[in-house]
Amino acid sequence: MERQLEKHLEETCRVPGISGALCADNNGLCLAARGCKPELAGHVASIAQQAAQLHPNSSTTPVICIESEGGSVLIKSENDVTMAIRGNSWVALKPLCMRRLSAIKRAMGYTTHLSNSLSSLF
Amino acid sequence: MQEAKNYLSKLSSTVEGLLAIVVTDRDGIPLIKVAMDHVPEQALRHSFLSTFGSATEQANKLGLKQTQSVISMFKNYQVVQINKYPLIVTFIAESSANTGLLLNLETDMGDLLSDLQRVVPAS
Repeated sequence: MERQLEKHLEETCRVPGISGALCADNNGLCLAARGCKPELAGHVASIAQQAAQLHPNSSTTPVICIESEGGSVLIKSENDVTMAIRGNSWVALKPLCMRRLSAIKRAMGYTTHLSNSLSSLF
Repeated sequence: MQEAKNYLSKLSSTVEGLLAIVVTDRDGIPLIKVAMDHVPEQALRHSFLSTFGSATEQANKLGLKQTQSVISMFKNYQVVQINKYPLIVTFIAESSANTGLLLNLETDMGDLLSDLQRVVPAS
């Protein structure tokens, strides 16, 4: 059932510079994980939900970038799916995160409609 | 015991919507309980908490080996019960609370649960 979803995560992790990817639902439960511990799903979903509260009236959800010495994590949620991608550089991660989230949601049967205004964040 | 309760109180404030943490034995008799005022009182009774034991007995027959946790989602609340034989750890939270974070609390309670497991006799 989750073969297509895992296939998308595998393809994501094959991109140079990407060390892991994780998908969580809105309950903080792990849908799929590659190169990341599934236990992180709760924290990823929580971060996305907390960040969304910064602009509650916004029509789009924010893209969250966490940079540390060990690398970067990009988190984005769309409808009921939150995705986190771990890698080296957030600049390279951002378009990949958007494309992968779109593909993953199609795989899960959701229709997506990514707003162009998201790219105005960067 | 008060120290343990204080620790669980602090832990319960780390997850938004978490209303109660109850550590019980297999019969649902509480060893430690930390609960907010507006938690539904029926959910704290031993008759409710002990249903985990019967549920896991049946679930073990599914051929999936030992039950690790049971998550029950209701309209207004969710109940996450974790098997730490001979103890049962029950988290009662609002339905909007982050279930993944509730499951992760088991790791944060590891030391406390190890101490309690030694105290409670396994039947």
